[in-house]
Amino acid sequence: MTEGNAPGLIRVMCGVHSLEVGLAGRTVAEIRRALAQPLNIDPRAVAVVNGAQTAETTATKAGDQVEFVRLAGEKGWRRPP
Amino acid sequence: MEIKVIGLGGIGGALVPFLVRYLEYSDGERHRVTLVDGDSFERQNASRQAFTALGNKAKMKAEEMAPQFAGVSLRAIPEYVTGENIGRVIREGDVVFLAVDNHKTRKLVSDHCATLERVLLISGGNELTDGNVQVFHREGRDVTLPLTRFHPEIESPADLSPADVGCEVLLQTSAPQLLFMNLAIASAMLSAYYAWRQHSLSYDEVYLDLLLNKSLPVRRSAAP
Repeated sequence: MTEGNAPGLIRVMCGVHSLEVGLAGRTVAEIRRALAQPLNIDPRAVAVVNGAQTAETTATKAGDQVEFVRLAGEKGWRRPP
Repeated sequence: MEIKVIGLGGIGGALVPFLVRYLEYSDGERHRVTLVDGDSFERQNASRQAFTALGNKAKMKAEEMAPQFAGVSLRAIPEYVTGENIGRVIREGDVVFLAVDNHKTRKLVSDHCATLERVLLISGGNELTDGNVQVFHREGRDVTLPLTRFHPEIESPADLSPADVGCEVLLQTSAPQLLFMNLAIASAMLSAYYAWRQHSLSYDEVYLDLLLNKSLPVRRSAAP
């Protein structure tokens, strides 16, 4: 099945990870929960759907590109205890 | 056009020799490169940074490179970038390589670049085995996105800048660094610069993962 004739597919990205999954119709929050572990999605990562920052309650549709923007590298800085 | 390299640590120190060598032999023009860093080389830096003498990083690196590359005009600004000096450090038409270790400076530089008509800002950062490069390009408008867009950790930085506390304090609060990751980020920054020179820059940000040996460019701004 190709991308063009596969209703229900969305592309989800986080950092170097990118995959096509049949989660169209699910909300951003549901997608975040479903893929948090395999894509290593930080809870603070902003959700961007088709280039625009999107609320967690927004439902996706087939063909959407959903990105959870990985936090920028900081050369290992960590908050002092 | 003048090139500014801000931060001469693990990433900036890896980037500069290749950048200057490329410029020396690229097009016959005499390029101007300014190195900016208020920090000093110390022996404890030797595991990830190449230097031939102790002292201010910007000055030492410029002095080291200048005799090898007569076709490039190298100068040093031995200062951290601050709100007071940024207007002097980054000017209209500059290409800026930003290789610092804190989001506070990234926001400062990105916000300043947003006030300029024409500028190319390439910023890199990393954790131990992964990292990212962001490209903020302005040509009278935002061709690609500012560093702060979709990055609340940069828009509202919780960290410190070395201008506030000095690199020594930052070093005490930093996690271990890997030379290879610094090198990968430096290479990705130079790749973005080359793509821009070739009018082929097509992304806002690129992610890299050393363990997976994988990178992924991402475009979020509207396609040209």
